[in-house]
Amino acid sequence: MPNSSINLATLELVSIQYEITRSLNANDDLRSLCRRYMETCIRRLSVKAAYLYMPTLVAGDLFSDSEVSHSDWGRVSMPSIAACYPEQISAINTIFNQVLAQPETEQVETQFIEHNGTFYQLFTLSKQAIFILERNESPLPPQVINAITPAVKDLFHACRASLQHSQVVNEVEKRKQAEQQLTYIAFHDELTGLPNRTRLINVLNQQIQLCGQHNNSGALLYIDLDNFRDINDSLGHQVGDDILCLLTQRLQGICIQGEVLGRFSGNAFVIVCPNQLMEQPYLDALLLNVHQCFDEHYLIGNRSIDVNASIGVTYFSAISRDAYTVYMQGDLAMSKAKVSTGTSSVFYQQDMEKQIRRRYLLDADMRTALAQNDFFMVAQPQVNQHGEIIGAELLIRWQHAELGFIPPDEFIAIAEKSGFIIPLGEWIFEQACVCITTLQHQPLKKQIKVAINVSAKQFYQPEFIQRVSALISKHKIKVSDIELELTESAMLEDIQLAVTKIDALKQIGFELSIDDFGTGYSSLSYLKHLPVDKIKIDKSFVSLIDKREDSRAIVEATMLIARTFKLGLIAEGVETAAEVTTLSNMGCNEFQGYYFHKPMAINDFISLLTT
Amino acid sequence: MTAIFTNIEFLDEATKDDVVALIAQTVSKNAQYILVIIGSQSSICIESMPAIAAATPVSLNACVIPGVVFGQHYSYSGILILGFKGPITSLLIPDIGASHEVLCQQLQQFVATNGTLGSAGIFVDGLSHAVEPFIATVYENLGSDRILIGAGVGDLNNPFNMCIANEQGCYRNAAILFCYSNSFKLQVEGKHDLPQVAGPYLVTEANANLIHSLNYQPAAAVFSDAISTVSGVKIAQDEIGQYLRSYPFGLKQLNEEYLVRDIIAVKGNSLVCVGNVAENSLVYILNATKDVLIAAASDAGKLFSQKLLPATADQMRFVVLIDCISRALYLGDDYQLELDAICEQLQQDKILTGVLSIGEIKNTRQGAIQFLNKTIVLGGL
Repeated sequence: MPNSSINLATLELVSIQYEITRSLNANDDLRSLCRRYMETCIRRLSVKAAYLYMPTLVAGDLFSDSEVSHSDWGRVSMPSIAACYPEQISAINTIFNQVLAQPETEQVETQFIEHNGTFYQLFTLSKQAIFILERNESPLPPQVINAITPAVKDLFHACRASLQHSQVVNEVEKRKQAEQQLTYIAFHDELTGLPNRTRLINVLNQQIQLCGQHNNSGALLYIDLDNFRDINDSLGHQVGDDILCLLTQRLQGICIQGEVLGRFSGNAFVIVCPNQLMEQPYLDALLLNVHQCFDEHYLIGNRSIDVNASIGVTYFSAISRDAYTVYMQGDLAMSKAKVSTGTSSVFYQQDMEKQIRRRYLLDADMRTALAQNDFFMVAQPQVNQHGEIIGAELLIRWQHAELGFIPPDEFIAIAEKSGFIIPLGEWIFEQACVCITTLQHQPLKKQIKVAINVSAKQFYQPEFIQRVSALISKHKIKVSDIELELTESAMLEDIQLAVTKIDALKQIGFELSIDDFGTGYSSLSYLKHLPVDKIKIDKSFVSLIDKREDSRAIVEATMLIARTFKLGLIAEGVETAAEVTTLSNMGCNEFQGYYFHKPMAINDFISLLTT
Repeated sequence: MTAIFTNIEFLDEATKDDVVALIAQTVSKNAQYILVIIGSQSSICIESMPAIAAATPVSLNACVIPGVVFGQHYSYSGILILGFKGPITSLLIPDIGASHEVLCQQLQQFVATNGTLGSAGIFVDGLSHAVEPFIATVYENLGSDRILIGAGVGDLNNPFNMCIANEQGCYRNAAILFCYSNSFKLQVEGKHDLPQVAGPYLVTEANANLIHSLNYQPAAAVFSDAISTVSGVKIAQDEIGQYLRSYPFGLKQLNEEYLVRDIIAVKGNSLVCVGNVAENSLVYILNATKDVLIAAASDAGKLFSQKLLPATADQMRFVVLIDCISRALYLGDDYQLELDAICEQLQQDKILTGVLSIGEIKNTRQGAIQFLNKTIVLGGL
């Protein structure tokens, strides 16, 4: 290393320049970078303080409120509490304004200001930044200023790069947050914050996979609130939502071992129990806890509301096909639990799956069956005490192309649930009209009345009366030739509306009967308001009536009601002579049942009438 | 320094009972804050100080330091008990290696209570690697308007021992900061006067207090070549250990004396310094001799006396000395000559009181705070 005075000075300057430049560590954040840089300047250049100013417009939110010392500028300084504010010195303030006003360049300008014995060395980059070194006693030598100017330019560039980097990072962060929010929304229920159906399906699929790895099984609880629609309809959706939130809290309180609780649909919750938890005592305890969630009333405002649920329980393992299948099993078991009153639970069994498959199949095929005339009507004659035919009940039948004969109870229940009962009921009504038209053209000795069943859904349809009136007009038949049979439970669904509708139907000329009487626990108090014409004694009371006193007592009471309200009476499901004799002795003179006639094809019925 | 001290007590060989009694005596003189400085070879154990501090009705801190000075006497086993008049506040920072944010939080709290004016003292673990970043953080938060004097504390022979205490416990890697929240300013003079004998050398590779290469050559080899040339004696690299105390490094500063960095060991081809040396800094080799050291001590005393304001001089009874232990170790028994040289320059009624430290702390002429080596610092108020 040469030691001549010229080279010595050069070496000193190079050393200063290098040391200051090297203090700009690329890994530092902007504040650390500035701090380290200014510390090095203070140590190496023997200055009292260093200040870095940047327009707030450029620096974004780099500066805290206390660091914004001027309306357009913020500063960081070393020491940070320096009581001196160079920007308040008039000559320096002028330079601040000039820097903002100048056209943008990449050239770092240097300026020197002396104020009250203190020396300020300014380095400026138009519109970007100002760096000030404050010194007592003497100014920095010009050769030192020249040497460090590139290092100050490096500082400005590093600041700019750091700010740009921060902006990019902020943007990425914001986007990440937005994505997280979207992901959250996509997988969570907005009301309760619980995992939603999509998330639950993912969780269950993962659990099924884990079962394969650990060779064990898990369980799923499908919790469906009973009659929740009634709560929403009668108390309002806000109350319904409050109940769901309260229930969520209760369920969360019992899911503390890693179970996944979610809201599967409007009023259905699901608990997925991971495979590692699956031991029967655990599941029994969990199920008991779920039941207890419904033991106490739900207090919403001043209102105490009783909520019950039906719970389906099913196991899953590696052999489970997928999450959808497991949920369907839980749903099916839950449907079975719905039959019980109060909160109850049912474990899934394999034959339920067959049932559900058959149900789905029938539901799907029903529509094509109607179009392809796979449905047909049969007639079961009704007779008087002499065995003479006085009428017939028309009954629908379905001969499935693959499954063969489908019992009416089965497919009508499916049609009721899916709503298909409305077009199907209309078809039945039309078939009855056709039958009556046919009968009108037969030389019959006596007028025959045809009865058909009307479902509750069909009956409560707002336009039911208009539609049946239109069919009557279309087929040009007498309204009095048709008797509409409504079940007792259907009438009780909305007694006021039922009375109104029955009144309207009677005004048109229809006769109405109560089907399955005795099964709906009717109360005499409202029976008297129902303007029906006839009561049909349910076959469950008719069967073995000759041997069962309890049945006789019910039938006697029913007869008393009929006499009191001057209603017609017919016993259905009569199968033996003894039943007929007993019923006759009790005063019942009209019958329907296998003892007299099985249901038969319409043509056979017509032949029977005409022979 | 009657303006700030109630009394200063010195004992060359003290027992715990002596210390308790002197503290009680200091309290009785209305001291608002007490600093107990324990020589590294004292029988008083720093671990006994928390209980003593807890039993003392005023705030008390203690520290271990290589040696203490009282009058013209110096001792490695003695203790000093300094009683301060109020108002004075102190802060113990338990970990000077804590994050910058944590340190700033503690110091800003201190500034919020005490303001930025007046004078301050600082005692910091001189053997901690965090000393210099910590001192930079102190300057960042305290600013340049507070005159500061301080010393690096600790025991050179037991570098991992606790060296600072308060009523809550003992610490290493810690610092004590105390200050007067008034506008009195310390008179401080620092000096080493060591001449440059070789250099400059560009520090081309360094890490904290380790210099690996100078002018792109192994640092130890460059150093041994340089002192061989200066001394006229061929000194092999494995022999340079015995020359380290005589040839410290001096870091070039603009308009300031060289910042001395003592070399305390050779580690392979690297040199281990007391205090950090930055990469790309410019260093010289300085030469410490008995005559230079004693002359510098005399100069420091003279300069201090000359600059002392008459009003301050009248009130002052104690002159505080922070003297580098490396000077005492280098001079050996001749260190007494250095003390005598300083005292000769002070007015006769002044008592020199101070410490032999592991690094000295004072403001530069610009106000920044520096951690020095091999330097005499004199202070008075």
